[in-house]
Amino acid sequence: MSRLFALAWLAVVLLAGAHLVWRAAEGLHFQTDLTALLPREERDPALQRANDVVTNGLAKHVVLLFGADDREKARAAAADIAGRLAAEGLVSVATGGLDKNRLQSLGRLYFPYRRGLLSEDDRRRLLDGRAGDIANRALSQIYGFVGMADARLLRQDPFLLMPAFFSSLPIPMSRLAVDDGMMSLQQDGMTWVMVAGQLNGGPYALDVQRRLAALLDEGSLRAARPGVELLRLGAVFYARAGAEQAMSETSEIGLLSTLGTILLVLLVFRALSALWLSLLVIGTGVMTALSASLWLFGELHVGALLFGVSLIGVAVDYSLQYCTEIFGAPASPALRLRRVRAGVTLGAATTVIGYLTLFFAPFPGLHQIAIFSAVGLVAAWATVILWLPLLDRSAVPRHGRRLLAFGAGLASLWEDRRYRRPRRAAAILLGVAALAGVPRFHVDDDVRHMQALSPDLRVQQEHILRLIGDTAGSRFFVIEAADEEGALEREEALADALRPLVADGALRNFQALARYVPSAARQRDNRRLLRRLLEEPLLEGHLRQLQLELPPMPTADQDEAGPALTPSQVLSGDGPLASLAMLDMGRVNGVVTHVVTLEGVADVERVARAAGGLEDVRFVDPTESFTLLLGKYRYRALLLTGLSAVLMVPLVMGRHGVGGLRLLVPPLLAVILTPALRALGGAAFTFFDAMALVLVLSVGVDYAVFCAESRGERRQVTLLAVALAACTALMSFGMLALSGVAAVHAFGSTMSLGILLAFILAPMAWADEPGGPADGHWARLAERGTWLGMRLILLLYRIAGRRGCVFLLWLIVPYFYLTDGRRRRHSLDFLGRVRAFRGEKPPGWRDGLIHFMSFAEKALDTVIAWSAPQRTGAIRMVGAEAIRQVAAEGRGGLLIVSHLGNADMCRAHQAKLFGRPLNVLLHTRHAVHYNRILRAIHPDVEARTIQVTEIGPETAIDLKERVERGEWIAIAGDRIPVLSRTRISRVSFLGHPAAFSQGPFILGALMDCPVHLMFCLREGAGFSMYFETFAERRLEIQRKSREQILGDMCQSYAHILERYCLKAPSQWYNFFDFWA
Amino acid sequence: MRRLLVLLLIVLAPLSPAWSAGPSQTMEPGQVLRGRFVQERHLSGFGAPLRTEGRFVLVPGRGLIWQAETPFAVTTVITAAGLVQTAGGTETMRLPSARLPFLSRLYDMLGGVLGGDWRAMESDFATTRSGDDGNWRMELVPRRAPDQVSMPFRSIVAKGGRFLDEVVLAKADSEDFDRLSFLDQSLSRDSLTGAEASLLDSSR
Repeated sequence: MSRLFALAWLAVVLLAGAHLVWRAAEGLHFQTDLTALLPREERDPALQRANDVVTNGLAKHVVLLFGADDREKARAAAADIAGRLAAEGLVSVATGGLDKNRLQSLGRLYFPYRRGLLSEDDRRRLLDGRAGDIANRALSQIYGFVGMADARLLRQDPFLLMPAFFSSLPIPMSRLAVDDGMMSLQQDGMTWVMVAGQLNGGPYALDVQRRLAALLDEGSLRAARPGVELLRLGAVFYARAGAEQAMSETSEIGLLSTLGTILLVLLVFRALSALWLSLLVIGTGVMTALSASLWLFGELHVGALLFGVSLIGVAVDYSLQYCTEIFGAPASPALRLRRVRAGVTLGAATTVIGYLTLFFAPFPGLHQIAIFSAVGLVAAWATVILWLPLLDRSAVPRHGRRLLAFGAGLASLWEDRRYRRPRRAAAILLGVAALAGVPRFHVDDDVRHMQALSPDLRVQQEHILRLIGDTAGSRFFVIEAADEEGALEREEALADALRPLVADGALRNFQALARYVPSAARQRDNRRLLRRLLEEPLLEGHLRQLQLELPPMPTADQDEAGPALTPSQVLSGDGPLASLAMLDMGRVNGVVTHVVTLEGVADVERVARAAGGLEDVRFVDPTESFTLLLGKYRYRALLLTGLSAVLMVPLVMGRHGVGGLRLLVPPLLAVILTPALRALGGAAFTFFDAMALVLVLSVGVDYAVFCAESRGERRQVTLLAVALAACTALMSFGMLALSGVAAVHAFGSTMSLGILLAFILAPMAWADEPGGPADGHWARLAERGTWLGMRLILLLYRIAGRRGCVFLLWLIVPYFYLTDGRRRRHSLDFLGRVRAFRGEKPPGWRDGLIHFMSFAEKALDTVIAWSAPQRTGAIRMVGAEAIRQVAAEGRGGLLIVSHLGNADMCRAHQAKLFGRPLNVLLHTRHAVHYNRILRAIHPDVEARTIQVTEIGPETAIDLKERVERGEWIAIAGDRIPVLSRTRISRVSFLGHPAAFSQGPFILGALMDCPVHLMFCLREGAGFSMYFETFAERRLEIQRKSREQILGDMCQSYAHILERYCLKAPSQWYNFFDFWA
Repeated sequence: MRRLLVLLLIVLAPLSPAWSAGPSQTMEPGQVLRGRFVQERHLSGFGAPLRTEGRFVLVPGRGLIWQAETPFAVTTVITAAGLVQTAGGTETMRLPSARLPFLSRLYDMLGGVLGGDWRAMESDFATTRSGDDGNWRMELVPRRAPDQVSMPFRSIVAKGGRFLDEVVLAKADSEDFDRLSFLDQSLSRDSLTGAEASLLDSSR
């Protein structure tokens, strides 16, 4: 059977391999856009699209400046490169400025509409009543040293408004001028010639990057054209630098972490078999993961690859778990596998859950990481389970004993009493360091800090911006309107708000379509202004001065109805201003959407406020929103950590019961301590740290699972394997911490620290003693309220108070109610019997939930009672006189308590009641847990809890002595002994025969003392303790009818218990089949 | 703008000592050339040329002040920093030279010419010189096809004797031409008037 599965798995692996080979032959596609790892904008589509268009436009923009002290040299270099870029089809080189042809076609296009086109300044002059200034400007241009005047132009446009309009256009990069066909500028004796254009292809396509880099290679350029300096600006260059870094890091990290792992395995196992088995596991894991990712996504993100490579460190864990077993008791490979199979499977399941939660994050890159890792881990797991035992030919190593001794030494660090003080010191140190880190904890979501931008390119970029002036920044406005005209009108309103900001330097410039093509309304208004304020008062005199005839003028009506220039005329594919097409995004969801880009924003706040009050105009700051978004996802990543912890709960509980929750303690502690310790070192907490915590949890739970699965002797072997696993993980994630990319560095650092902590803390998950899976006996049921649970409740109570705790319990208990079918059935069974006994209808699911809640509250009350007895609320005593009487006489007695209500209350308040110690007999190993929690609260109570499984003569004598000293003995009357099923009587309880222990009554008879019953029920905000006298002096059992008498005693106890049960059925805490 | 600079070149170039067939009078450092000008702008379709009269002051190393007086008062100041035009007390134009690479190229040419190096000039213009020192004529034709943006002339013809007397600039793409006549020119070592100095400074 297992061979069949192994063969099937072989088929899958071969298929994956074939797929990979086929894809590799086609050429693998790698995506290098680091932002693809980041979340998508989470807003409406218009904004999203605007962001995409602007960002893509900016991303594809390439600016090259060739500088030399000799004009011809710079021009020749620029012409050469521009020609080669065009020839290779890499970049569509744009002339940028207005050359002769573009100026002429612009003139031809605009000229018919000239009456509606006024420069912003001329419009202001007319509105301010300074029409004379316009006339004077025309005259000074005509008569002055600079002759703008062209006869044809003058006759049509005697005020030279058209040239004024053109020179007012905010054409980008206006610091440059066309010098003999090339955009150039002179500064400090250098001539700079620009080659600019749009990249043909994505800036993140590796192929494009490679070809561009080859063409612009600095070395060859310097050799070919000495004295020519090249400055570059464009996302593609940054992407290239990032990709180069990521690629070299990927191969370096992959290589180093593989080499380290190999070395470690060789060192530990001193055999090639363990190495090749481990390599087989890693190999199938990585190959299958690669194949699956390529199949699902078509391409692979370099970042995903980078994170995915660190998978090697996790995948090898499973093979190490298996291989280390060779040092344990000698066994066949199949048997060795069986010893680790449960642990490896549970570990893989929890880790895969951790990785798969990454899938909930809406980042394409992280999806790839999630799939890559999950598939890789499952494949590694399958290889370990299905193949390793079949392939394993390992001989028992000779150095096994020494290695085991090492493992034992390692284990003793956690176990041995000798190391208690260092352990405690280390724990305190860790706690203090973490606490010290807390005030230094700070978050940083600024996306600019996450990407490592090449410093050299940044210097070049700044130099370029100093030379050519600002190019469009990443911030912009989005304008929405029902139609094109509406959008233009809104832009004009926005432009009016922005112009004062430009005047006082808060903003250098802005690009808006309406500045090139005013709205139809504005054009009509301009024609009116022109006619009324300029032509009517001044035209005649102006023409006379120029000795010109009055040209044919349109009538006022013609002006009113005159045609308007529209954006589509200007922006059309071969239009003179086609480069502005980015400003008009057309219709998005039926709404006309325009973009206004900003250059040189000095005062972000004021610019952002400019849109305030303008309808359908929104300021967009992608960096800022990216930062906000990263913050949001940092928070969500933490929720994700919580979610994956919750998802792990059913897995660990399914195997270990409630006690399985302790498996989550080490990883959760690691998750909490890591950020605090990182903060101590001054590191900020980022989204990538939060993401790493998800994985710390899942890897950490692996270690805890491996530890929990091992008992006794095997602990040494397991600890050895876990130590090996931690070492390999540290090797791979530690490498990531060395990355120059801030995001990867943060991820790697948090991972390595988290894994180190998870490893150190993992032995906390060691089970206390052997015990198989729970069976029907109550003593073996891991009682709700084990040590861990109690500790947690105590902690919560101190933080949140009772009310807060009850609230939290309402969040937690329904989960247990839903998942723990067995106890739910017992609860409903019990409640059903109570209802039937009373003649009521059967209970619903709500009653069961209330029953569960009541139990949780009981645990809470117990903790409160012990830690703060004064806070338990009022305690009412009913029938306590008899007890007080006995106590006053200095005598002791037997107190039969039950799991109905909270018997612990009487322990907590024993001093008030008895004035003498109360000894509690517990049947079970739970005494150990119980003592631990009590010791934590009351260090002096240890001796008072006596664990008995069977009451023998010595116990009886000891107890008798205690009673004679005036002490009290408490024993539960509603539980039967662990080992014996003989001393029981079947008596009627709630109408059905149930087994009751004769033990308490035999004990009472043996000790020759008064026997009382006690039930402590929660009533309202307080408690009532009900006492019943069972035997005032002593219990007498005649030898002859002993069985009969004990049966009668059991029956009368059962009746009393029944009475109180009916009083408070939801306080019945025997969650097992009582009538079994 | 280009036109203005070429003009500047023409005005200043003949003052070079190496100018074989050009103005016989050369300028020495510290000298100031003052004079009057008549600018006739012949525009096709206009009944009469647009005629401007005014005064100019040329200060080597500092710049040129070009003051039109009739029919419209407008002052243009050209320095290495660029050009500033004012009319009626308000600035009507300001062109910084940094925005015009051609401007600095012309300054280069000019520097060359003044130093007797014609190569820079000859790379852009084909020059033909005739006549003698007392009565010379020079024709400059752009080597590249004229266009509106970088070289808006078909040809430039300069005439003169001791000084440059007349320049005719024929525009590209049309029949329009400008005729500039220079009168009453005198060289002096007088210092600049306060008004002249402040005009030159204000354009910085």
